[in-house]
Amino acid sequence: MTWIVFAGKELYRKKIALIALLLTVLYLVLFNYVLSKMTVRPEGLLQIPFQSLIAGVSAITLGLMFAGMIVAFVVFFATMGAISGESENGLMLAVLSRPIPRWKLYLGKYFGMAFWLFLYSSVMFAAILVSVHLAAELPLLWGSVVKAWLLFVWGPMLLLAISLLGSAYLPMLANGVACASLYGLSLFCGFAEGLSNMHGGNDTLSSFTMVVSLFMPSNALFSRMTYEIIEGLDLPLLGDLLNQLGPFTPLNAPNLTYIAYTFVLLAALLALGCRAFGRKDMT
Amino acid sequence: MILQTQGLTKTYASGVGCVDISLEIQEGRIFGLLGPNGAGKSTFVKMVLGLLRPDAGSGMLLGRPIGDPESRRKLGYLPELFRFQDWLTGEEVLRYHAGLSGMKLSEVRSSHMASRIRDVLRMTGLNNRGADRVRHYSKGMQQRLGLASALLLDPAFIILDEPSSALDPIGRYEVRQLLEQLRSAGKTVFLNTHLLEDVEAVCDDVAFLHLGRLRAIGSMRELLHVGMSWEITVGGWQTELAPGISGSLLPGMAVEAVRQEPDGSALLRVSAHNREQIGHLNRLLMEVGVTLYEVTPVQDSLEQWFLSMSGADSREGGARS
Repeated sequence: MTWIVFAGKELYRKKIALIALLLTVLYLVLFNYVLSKMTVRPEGLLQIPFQSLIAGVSAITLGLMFAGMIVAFVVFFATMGAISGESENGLMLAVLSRPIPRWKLYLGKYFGMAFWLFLYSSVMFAAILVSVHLAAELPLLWGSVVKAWLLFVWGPMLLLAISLLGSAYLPMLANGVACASLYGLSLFCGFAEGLSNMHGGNDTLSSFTMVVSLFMPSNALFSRMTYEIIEGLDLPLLGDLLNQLGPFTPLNAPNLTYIAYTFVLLAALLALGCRAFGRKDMT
Repeated sequence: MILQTQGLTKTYASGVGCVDISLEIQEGRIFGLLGPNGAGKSTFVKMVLGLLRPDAGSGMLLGRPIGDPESRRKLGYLPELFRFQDWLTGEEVLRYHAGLSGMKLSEVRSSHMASRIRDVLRMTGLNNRGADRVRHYSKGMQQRLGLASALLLDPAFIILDEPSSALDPIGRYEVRQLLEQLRSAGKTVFLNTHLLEDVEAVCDDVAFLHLGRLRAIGSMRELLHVGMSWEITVGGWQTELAPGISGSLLPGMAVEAVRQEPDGSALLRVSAHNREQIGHLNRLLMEVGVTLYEVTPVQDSLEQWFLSMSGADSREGGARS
């Protein structure tokens, strides 16, 4: 509880929360504007036309992808110096002279920040989904929505662990660059694989994307989340709908074994971070 | 024993930090670790606190191995170059540090803790500034807040790394007063500084670190030769008297003529363990017809001692502090 209060205060007082809120509002306003243009229905039409469904699914996919990017950058900017920055500026000297084991401090920082990121990404997810649901009248299933929501908020939890681990090894700026680059690589690989799949696929690219997803699971989780939402639309012509999504088609959505792997990955990232922080010299 | 180290060593790629540091600090004493910049003082302190991992050696802090978080349970520490979260208020910083010491949120927010926070802020001269954000504090005020944080949980052992470095003369005086109060309260203080007036005013024991090695350790009285050296002004002195007098001295005594005038007057430097030995010398001088004019006890100044200790190795390379 102490860590949650402290992390909340840090996000608020450093104005990270304010900036994130303003960007989020701006993003949602723009998103809703674009959405309203995408889902214009001819006067007097009672049934939802197929094109409107395509527009709605595309809007959810793109909306959540960009929302995920915003959340990811909030994670990186808020935590890229969590360990190294505080070591460099001397803040850790007074903190670590207290009788607290370093692993507790590390996990306290993680869970304190994770709580607020969980809330933030949940709000982002809900805002996108509700907007699209209202504008495109998509028949969503609650079970699928919950699964997609859990996958959406799970991504930032992993990104947070990666960023914290990086900050135990790298200087603040280098960690921010490394995390953003890795995240960008993951998105790029997913996009490139999607494009490749439209023309028969490429084994080398798929293998490379899989290797990247072992270290940076954001794109794989996004793919699975998209799959859960589309599958939960409970519509006929699902195959046709998937084909209309182009590079965002979740044909290579990871299976549940991979989702289980991400739990192991999180545990490993936290364990490695605790170990690295525990052995770090505060010069 | 509050602190005991054996052969603590830390080396850096850029140079020696500390080599083979073994020392002991007794309860209720104020211990000063002296040395020029880059001597390795802060490296030693950081090893004791578990902030740096020693390459070799071991130690016990407050009954537990150094590096064990529990060894820091009754410890207060003011780092040399430090910062607090500038987005917190002074009071919030202190509450945060109380929480780091294992207190529950309810204890941190209790009226008892609020009262303790008011006390330490008053003790360190920040009594009206606790509600201000740290970013609005001057450097000296941040140093005072660091002191307040070190004293917050009523520690038995307080390590202060250059506590006066950012303070004005009034602030330095107040820190010395505070150290005296801590000694009166039975606290043990480890003072890491190169400000000799602080050490001279308050320390019971001192150690001298230079180029990463411990060059001297002992009580101030021993190291500054308090009560162990005298200057004696005499008349009727002749150079040929010296061997006879030296041969008749008690064990541990030594006499050296440091100045001799043509009229027979001379200034003798005498080393002795006590006044009785000076009385014995007086009798010897009278037996050979020397007239004794004046006997003055001599005390080395800390500055002289510091310079002599530093000068011995001044041509060697520097170590990291």
